Formats: sequence, C-alpha cells, structure tokens
Amino acid sequence: MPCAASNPTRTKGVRILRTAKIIQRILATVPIVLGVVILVFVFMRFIPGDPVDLMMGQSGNVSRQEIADLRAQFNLDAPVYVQLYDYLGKAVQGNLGESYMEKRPVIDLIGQALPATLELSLMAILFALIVAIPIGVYSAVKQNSILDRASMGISFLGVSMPGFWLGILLMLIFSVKLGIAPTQGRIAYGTGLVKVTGFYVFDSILTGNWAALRSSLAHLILPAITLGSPTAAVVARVVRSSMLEVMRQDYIVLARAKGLREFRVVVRHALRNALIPTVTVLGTEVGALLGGNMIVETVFGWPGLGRLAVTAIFNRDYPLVQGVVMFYALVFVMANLGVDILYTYLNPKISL
Amino acid sequence: MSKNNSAPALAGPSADPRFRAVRRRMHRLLEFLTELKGNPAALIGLLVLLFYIGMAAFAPIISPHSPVRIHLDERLLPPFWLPGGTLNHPLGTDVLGMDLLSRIIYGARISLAVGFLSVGISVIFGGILGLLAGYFRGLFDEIICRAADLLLAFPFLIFAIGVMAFMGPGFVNLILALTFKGWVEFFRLVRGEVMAEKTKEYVEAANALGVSHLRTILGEILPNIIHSVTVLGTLRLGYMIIMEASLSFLGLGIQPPTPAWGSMINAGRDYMMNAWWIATLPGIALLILVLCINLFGEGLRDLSDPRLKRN
Amino acid sequence: MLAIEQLTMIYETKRGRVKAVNKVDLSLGTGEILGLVGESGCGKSATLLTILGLVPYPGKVTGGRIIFQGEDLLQKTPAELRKIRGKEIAMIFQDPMTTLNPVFKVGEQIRESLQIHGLMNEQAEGGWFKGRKRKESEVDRVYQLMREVGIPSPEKRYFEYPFQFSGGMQQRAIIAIALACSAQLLLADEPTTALDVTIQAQILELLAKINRERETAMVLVTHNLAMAAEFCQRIAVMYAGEIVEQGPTDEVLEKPKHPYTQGLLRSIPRIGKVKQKLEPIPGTVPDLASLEDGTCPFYPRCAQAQPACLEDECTLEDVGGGHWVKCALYN
Repeated sequence: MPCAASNPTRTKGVRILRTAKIIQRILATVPIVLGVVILVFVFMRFIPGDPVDLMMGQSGNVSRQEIADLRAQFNLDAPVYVQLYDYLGKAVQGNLGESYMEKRPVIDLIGQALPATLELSLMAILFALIVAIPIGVYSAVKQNSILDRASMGISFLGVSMPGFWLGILLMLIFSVKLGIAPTQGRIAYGTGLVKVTGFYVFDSILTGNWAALRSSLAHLILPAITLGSPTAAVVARVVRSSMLEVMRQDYIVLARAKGLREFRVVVRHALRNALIPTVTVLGTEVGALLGGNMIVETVFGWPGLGRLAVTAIFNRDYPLVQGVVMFYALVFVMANLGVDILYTYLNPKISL
Repeated sequence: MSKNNSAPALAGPSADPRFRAVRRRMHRLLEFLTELKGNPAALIGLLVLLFYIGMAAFAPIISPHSPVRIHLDERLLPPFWLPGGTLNHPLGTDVLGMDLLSRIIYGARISLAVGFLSVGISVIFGGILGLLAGYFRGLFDEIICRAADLLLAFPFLIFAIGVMAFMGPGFVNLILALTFKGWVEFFRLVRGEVMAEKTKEYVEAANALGVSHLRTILGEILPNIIHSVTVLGTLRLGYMIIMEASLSFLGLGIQPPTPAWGSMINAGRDYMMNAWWIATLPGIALLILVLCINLFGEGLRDLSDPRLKRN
Repeated sequence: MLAIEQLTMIYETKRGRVKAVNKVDLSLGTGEILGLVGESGCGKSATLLTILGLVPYPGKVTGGRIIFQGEDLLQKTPAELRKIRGKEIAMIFQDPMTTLNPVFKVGEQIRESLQIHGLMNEQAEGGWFKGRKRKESEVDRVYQLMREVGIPSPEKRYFEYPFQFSGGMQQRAIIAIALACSAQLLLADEPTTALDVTIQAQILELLAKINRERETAMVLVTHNLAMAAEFCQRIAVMYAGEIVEQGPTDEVLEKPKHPYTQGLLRSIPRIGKVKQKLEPIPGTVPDLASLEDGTCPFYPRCAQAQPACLEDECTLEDVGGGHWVKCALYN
C-alpha cells in the first residue's frame, strides 16, 4: 500500500549519500583540529621565556630545586617534538594543563565558564534570527518601501558598528539614563538561584524561581542584543538579497498560479530557498560571534569564557589563554561543521 | 594613440591582448569616476574618508591642544554645548584633563595607519602568494592552502587577541597580528581569480606566444584582478579599523596615553555616570569612519557587479 | 467559457506607461485550443498572467473584462481568485527546469495543489487519523496523475527532487500540477520552447491527449506558427500588445489578411518546398513605451502602410467565417 511516510529505495539512496557526505566532512575537520592544536602549541613555544620563567616572575622567591622540579613537571627539558607528542596526548584526554593563577586544570575553568558564554551566545543568535529573518523577508517583499529603506539603513549601520561601542551605548541609555537594565553580571544577588545546569534562565525555570528568571533575563538582554546585532544586520541583508533573487524565480510564479496564499508563497516556497545562502553566512557569523563574546563579556562583566580569556591575558596565565583560544577555535570549527551539515539538509542537490 | 578610444575595435594595437587589458582598465577607471556621481552614498563615503585622511595628516596643525598634555585642573569638562563646557575644549576633556577633540583627531592617525598598513601588507603578501599559487598550482599551492585553511579555523578577533596576548601590545605587533590572518582572504580571492583568468583566451594566447610566466602574470592577469582586490581591500579596511579599536579597547592594542579610539572608549567606561562623552564621542568618530569606508566599498563593488549595472 | 474583452494592462515605468496588453479580445469555447502567436515581448505571456490575476509588478489592469464561466475575474477578490487559480485555470510554463521549486520533492509539489484546494477532504472520514487518511488518498491521487502524464514508476519518483528529473519529465510534473484539480482551462506559455525537439513532440502529444480525454480548453502561447498550425483550432496573432488577427487556423494560415501575419508566414521555412524564398520582416518590434495611441504599431515595418494607418485606430473587423483582422486595409 503506497503511503507518503514509507521509505522508498530512492530516498534511501539520497540518505546514504548524504550520510557519506557528512562523514566525509567530519573526517575533513580532523586535520584542521589537529593543526589548530599544533599551531597554538607552537605559538606557546615562540614566546620569549618558558612557562616556568613566567611563573617564577609571578611567585617571587623560588629555589633552584623548585625550578628544576617545575621544568621536569612541564616536560620542558625534553625535545620539542616529545613535548608536542606529550601535549597532544594530554589534549586528547581533555587535559589542557593547569592555570598558573588559579592552580586548577584549564579544562575545569573552561567548563565552569562555558554555560555563561553558551547562554549568552545562544540568546544572541536567537535574537539575531528572530529580528533579522522577518525584517529581511519583509524588506524583500516590500522592496523600496519606507520600512525596507529604514531597516536596510539600520542594518548597514549595524554592520559598521563596533560591538563594544554599541554595548556601551546601550548601557548608557538603558542602564545609566533610564535605569531599566542592570549593567554588570548575570544575575542579581539574593535571588537564591539553585544552579543545576549553569544556564541561569533555564535553571530558574527548572526550579520555578521567578525572581531569578526575571533577574537573569534582565541581565541577559543587553549583552545578547549587543552580541547579536552585527549578526542580525548581516543576516537581514543576506535574507533580503536572497529573497529578492528567489522571488524573481519561475517557481514563485508557479506557486502563485497554484492558488497559494501569498504568505505561503513567501514563507514556504521563497524563504525555504532563501535560507540556503543565509546558512552559509551564518557559518562565518559564528566566528564574529565568538570574537564578539570577548568584547561583550568584558563590557558587561559577563563571567564567561571571553572574560576568562581577557583576565588570563592580563595575568599572563598562558596555559589558560592557550586553552581558551584553542577551545574557541574548536568551537568555530565545530560550528562550521554543523552549518555544513545543516546545508546538506536544506539543499537537496548537495546530498548527491 | 588614445588608450581610451574604444571605437576601432579590431584594428591596430587593440589586437595586442596587453593593450586591451590596459585599455579595459583605463576604461573602467573612467567609468568608475562617472558612475560614482550616480551613487551619492559611495561618493559621500569617499569624501568622508578623504576628510579623515586629511584630519590625520594635518593633526598637529588643526588640533587645538596636544593630545597627551594633562590638565588636572580641567578634568572631566563636558563638551561646549553642555553647561560647564568651554570652547577651549570643544568636545570636553577626559579624566586627566586631556582634550578630547585633539585626541580624536590624533586617534584618526592610529586607526587609519593600522587600517591601511594591515590591509596593504595583507594585500601584498596574500596577493603574491595567491598569484603564485593560482598560477603554478602544485605542491606550493597545496601547502599555502592548508595553511590558509588552518588560519580560517580561528575567528579573526580570537586569533588577533591570542597573538597580541603572546606578543604584547604595541603598534607593530598590532599590525603583525592583523596581517597574520588578514592575508588569507586576499590569497583566496587572488588565487581563485588567477585560476579563472588563466583559462581565458588571452592568457592562453600569451602562453602560446612564448611570453614568460612573470610577464604573463604581471602584464595579463594582474590588471584584470586588481579591481576585485580593491573592492575587498576597501571593505577589509573598515573591518581592520574595528579590529584595531577592539584590541585597543581590550587593552591589547595601542596603550594609553597614545590616543587611539578604542582605548579612549575603554577609559571612558568608568565615567559613564558623570562624563558620558568620553566613551561616546570617539565611538562616533569610529562609527562614521567605518560606515563611510563601507559605503564607499559597497559602491565600488556595485559598480563592478554587472548584474546590478543592468538594472 | 472564456471571453476576454478589451483587456488592457499597462506597466507604469519612469519612461511612461507601457501598454503591454492593449485592448485584447479573445474568446475560447469548452475543449477548444487557441494558439496565441507572436514575436517575443509582444505581450503573450503578460496576457496569460493577467488572466490568472498575476500581473507582474509594476503592471496594472486599466480596462476590459475577463469573463470566465460567466463571471468577470477582474471583479473578484484576491481570495476568490486564489480559489480559481490552480483549480479551474491552471498554467504551464516555458522553462520547466526553473519552474519547479528546487527544494521540495516533486510529488509533494503536485500534492500541494490537491491539498490547498481541499480536493481530498471528502475522502477522509472524521476521526483520529483523518489527516493521515487524507494525505494517503492525496498521495495515491498524485501517483495516478504522474502515471497519466507519463512519469514512470511514480512510487519512486514522487520522492525525488526536481534536479533528479530531466527537462521533459519536469514539464510532465508541471502538467501534472496543472491537472491536479481538473482545471477546465489550461494556459500554456510556450510549453515546449526549452525542450529538445523529440521531447517537444511528446509534450505536445500529451497536451493533445489531455485535451481529447478531459475536454480541457487551452490557450497555447507560442512563437512557432508551425506548432500552432498543427495543434490549435484557432489562432490569434499578437503584435505589440494587440491582437491583429484572429480566426480558424486554416483560415488564418491559408488566407492571412494582416500584413504582419503575411510577413510572419513568409519568414518561416516550410518543410517540403524545395525552393523557397525567406523574407524576414524588416525592422524590429517597436519600443512599447514610445508607441502613440491610435496609430498602428506595425506601421513602421509595414510594406502596405498608408496614411490612413496613422489616423483612426482600427478595430477588429470580421472579414467572414469568424476571421477577424485589425488593419486599416480592411476597416
């Protein structure tokens, strides 16, 4: 009995090819990841003085014996390739060394700061997409209308806007002048939030702590807008231009000739196609978002990875800097991998 | 013999492919200047950019004060239009009493110098590598491409921050950090275009005539890709300026008291409650510059985009 | 079933109003095939889109009536028009390779027509899995349609994407979309132009079969007189937005009245004639924006032009046997 939900051989073929493509793509990232780790390692070796010297500079009086012990501990007397091998072996196990300042494993510090950064980044992406896609679509459909011109002007401004300055401006307006948003941190003191996942918004919903939810959202909104705005600007422009391109296509005329509502023509038939180029842009935007993290977290005192890195830089806490930079690069590589995989699902041609 | 004369299309020197390339370029320049008139946004962008360049060049003449002289008795003065402001310090002073207008004017020097130098070096470095890799391919191409892929695995700002963290702040280090990654985009652009140009008839003709590789690259290919490089260079200029400001803002770029917009904004953050202008005004200067560079860059790109030209 | 009267559609451009469709009169009976012939850019496609109410931006209908089954389509609200579009009047397009949406499965695109016009609603009884039942019957119907238009093994090809189809197969799928709701009127905009010659014949044969079996009326837009001659019962010749001649196919081709039609016929080669002189029509189609009202648009290219051509605007005149001409020679 024929049924749409059944799985005919042909579709199976498409699926197998898509899976092969995805596996191929995943395998292709392995040398990149390896290269990133090696590059960061090599960079560490290039800085004048070795880690032990740097640590000495911070801790003051140390005996010769202690220095020798530390050198042995960091394996600094071995040849560079042995060090690299050693380092890679540890990195694979998630051991990125120990922070000079905190005397704790780098990976723990990263893990601790990660939820804050993820929460902020996801909110920023969410904000960017929710704002940008409707604006892009509307601007394309009502090309040259006042709203189109205005939103494209604003988005051009957004592309040229330095993120940190936008953050300061928002803070100046909403926190300093209007006093309706907090300036620093993730949550107000005394909300008694029980941390479960480290995502405060999620945790406060989970524990039913509404005061904490309000506070964490209030803290989140300005940083998320700051971080998401440049992405929103880029996405809105890309969506608009690809929508304009798509709306000219013959298949849109066919969709209308079928008797579809204009809303369905635009959202289902046109937007679905316009999202294909948009997704590729999103890949590069993730890079901007990760970089923007450091800036925004510094401006808003957001206790995430970015601020961890900036603090580590000023403390000359090199293992930590190294770990965070490497982690960011890996996240970026993974994000691009994710975007590519998403792309194969959006564009049927890619899967063959 | 006029190079701009396009009427006798088949006769004389125009049969020589090299003349054709040169003439095409001259033609494009002329076309560009006339068409820029039809694109007021791009024209404004160019004029403002020139204004900033002039401001940077003549900073010692036009700025009312030394950008680094400290007046502790004139601390946190507001701009002249606010109560307490004076025309002596038109845009007010910062926490050390340094004149904001002068610092903004001098700050243009840093921004433009870092922007132009980092883009310039990136263009030269990436361009040469791209020309060679795209023209000769082979192992060399393979190695450079892998290196480029590796650099692309880092978000730009993260990479620059990492490099600055290890090398320490400073003007030269800043430019190095920006170009370490900046060349990749130009490399990829030039390499792609060279590979496309290489298959075109005039290059094949030159090869068949026994023209040396160097002459083919410089004489035939380079003139044809210079335009797209210019467009990318202009758009990257604004980006590099933002990167410089961001690094300086984080304290990793240009260090105070040297006037750089990014570090000025950072310094003003602590005084937002009572002296909003310290953080805001350099940001406006930065925003306008980047905005206008981008307007100009987009204008350039649209001029070269035949699809848009048709409409 | 379809009667178009004095239909005028203009484009408002910076350079002035362009009459893309100028006082067009057409009529079509049930089961009849009308050929709409003319050079590229003469307003044939614009006429079809106007019938469907899909006037391309910045076009605007400024006059006339489109009577379809006794009702004026121009008076209908957008919602009413949507119910007619795709259900009672369907359209087939010029380039099948760009007409199907590349990101949806071909079968789903055919099914969408059934779905939005609610054709299978009655098949599904109420209850918990009503939607699923309806979908199943829709899919079955799609298989049936695909078979009817000659797409082999529809159970497989339903789930393929347009790029996995050849041009001819894509055009068949588009025809299946047009047939989905058993439209009484099919507007075919150069349905074979983009296809290989052998495929052209197959598609035409398919259209002829549909016309025979379903009694579907068709308007076939083409610039190919030979194809129109073979396929259509009646022919209307269009020039610069106007219908200049209209009549039974044999009548128009054997005894062309309008100088433009005569020119067209002289400019195409005929198979079988050993020695023939091809005479292209001198000049090109005029710029529609610069046309003056009331003058004959063909005047500058016409061998039989006379002062009267510039004076009064001609109307379509009956020259006998349902053969109509718009030319000062016969006015």
